[in-house]
Amino acid sequence: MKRIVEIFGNAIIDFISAAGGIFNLLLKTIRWSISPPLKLERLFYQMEFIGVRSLFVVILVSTFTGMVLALQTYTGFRRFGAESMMGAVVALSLCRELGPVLTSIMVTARAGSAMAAEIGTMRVTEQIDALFVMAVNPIKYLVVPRVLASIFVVPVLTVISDYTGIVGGYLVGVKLLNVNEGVYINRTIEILELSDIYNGLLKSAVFGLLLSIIGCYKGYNAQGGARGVGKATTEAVVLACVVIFIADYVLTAFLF
Amino acid sequence: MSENIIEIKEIYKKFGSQQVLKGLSLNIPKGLVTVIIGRSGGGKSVLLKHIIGLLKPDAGQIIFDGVDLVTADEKTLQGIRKRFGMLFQEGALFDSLNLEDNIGFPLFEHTKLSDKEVYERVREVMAMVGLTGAEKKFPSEISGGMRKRAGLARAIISNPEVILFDEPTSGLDPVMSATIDNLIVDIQKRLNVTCIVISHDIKSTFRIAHKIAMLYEGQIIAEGTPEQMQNYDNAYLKQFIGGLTEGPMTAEK
Repeated sequence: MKRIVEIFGNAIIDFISAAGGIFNLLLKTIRWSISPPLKLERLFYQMEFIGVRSLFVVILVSTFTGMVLALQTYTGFRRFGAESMMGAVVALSLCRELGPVLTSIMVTARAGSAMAAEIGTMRVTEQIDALFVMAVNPIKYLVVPRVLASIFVVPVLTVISDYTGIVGGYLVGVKLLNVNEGVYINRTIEILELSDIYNGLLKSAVFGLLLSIIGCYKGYNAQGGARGVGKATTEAVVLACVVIFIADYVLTAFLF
Repeated sequence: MSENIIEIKEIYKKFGSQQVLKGLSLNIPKGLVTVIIGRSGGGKSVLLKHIIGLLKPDAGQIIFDGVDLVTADEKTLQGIRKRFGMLFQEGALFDSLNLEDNIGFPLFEHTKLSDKEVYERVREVMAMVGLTGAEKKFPSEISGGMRKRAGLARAIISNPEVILFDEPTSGLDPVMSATIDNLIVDIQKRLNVTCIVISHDIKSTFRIAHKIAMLYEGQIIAEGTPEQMQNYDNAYLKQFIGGLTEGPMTAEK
């Protein structure tokens, strides 16, 4: 019994200290991102790494998501003859929910993990200390460009993901399952509102912030050689995914 | 000895339940090489990190050029750090940059020099440490000795007043160790800088030191010129310098 309390207590302490640490890092990041000079080339480099190089996997995942979504809605909706609503349902689910969330999860897997691993390696090989000694603030140099780039780039990826997802849904619905093309498209345009799209984008910007700050935090606090870096990377991905899903619920509840 | 550039007064530092520094005091004379010797894990690196402000002591003072580093604000510290250079144990070069960008890094960050001027200066310091021709190589492509020399080049490029060395000869073969020692002596003379070296390499210590201080159990237990240290009557020091298994220090500690 005592052990259970101990384990449970430790988990709570770990959680609270991580939350505090992440919040602290966030405040520092905000402070350093508004203190000039901001080196644009570092920001662009990160935008390329996080954005451009995630493009392929995001397109792949969202196309198949749109396709399977069309397939599933068709199976369900046919039972009460609502096939005409298929297009709208696919587009709504993608723009409001799946586009932002799946894109953020893919970016976490690709770039969030890389942030934790790279910054963690720099920590354990004293490269972060070296930055300090050379009077270069490591948060400004390492964390700020990654976080800013993620906030900008994840919504852009989400737009692309919404689009390819809708195309995937259209292909399955119209070309494969022979739903009437005009009805499919018209109903989509009729029902989908612009606010659905940009509320989704707003969410994805928040997810971008969360996944990057968590990746950087875990890397920044890595210790204990290669094993420590591995641990930091795993923890960063798991924590970021969990936090994204929780934040998704909270934001959806408030936004929509 | 000459005037002191750094005065460390009674500093204490505790990590968790472990008291690493126990009221350590030490003066670093200006324009000379001071070597701090002591056993692995005895707090030498911790001491070095205090000198450069990476760690703050729980109590005590570290005076650099009249400024107390412990109470100074971050802006003052930033200014002071620019007057320091440091060679890390494994070089701590940035993996993502080639040698010339690594070595020129402090200049790119803190000066308004053009790229051309920076690379000229990089070439100059690379020649000083004997790395001419390796400008485009990446840290992963070169040997440990070369990495240390590149780290040294980066440490001296902005003309610091104090250079810190974290075990400059550890992990190197004897010939490379001697080369690094000669470089330290040579650069110290040429640039007239203050060098603080931490080491457990006795041979190397006596080759480069003007002053030696021995750290044991969180305190400086002996200090003086190399000659004084040779003849110092202290059981710990004698055991350490002689590299003996028998004496007051045991293997567990």
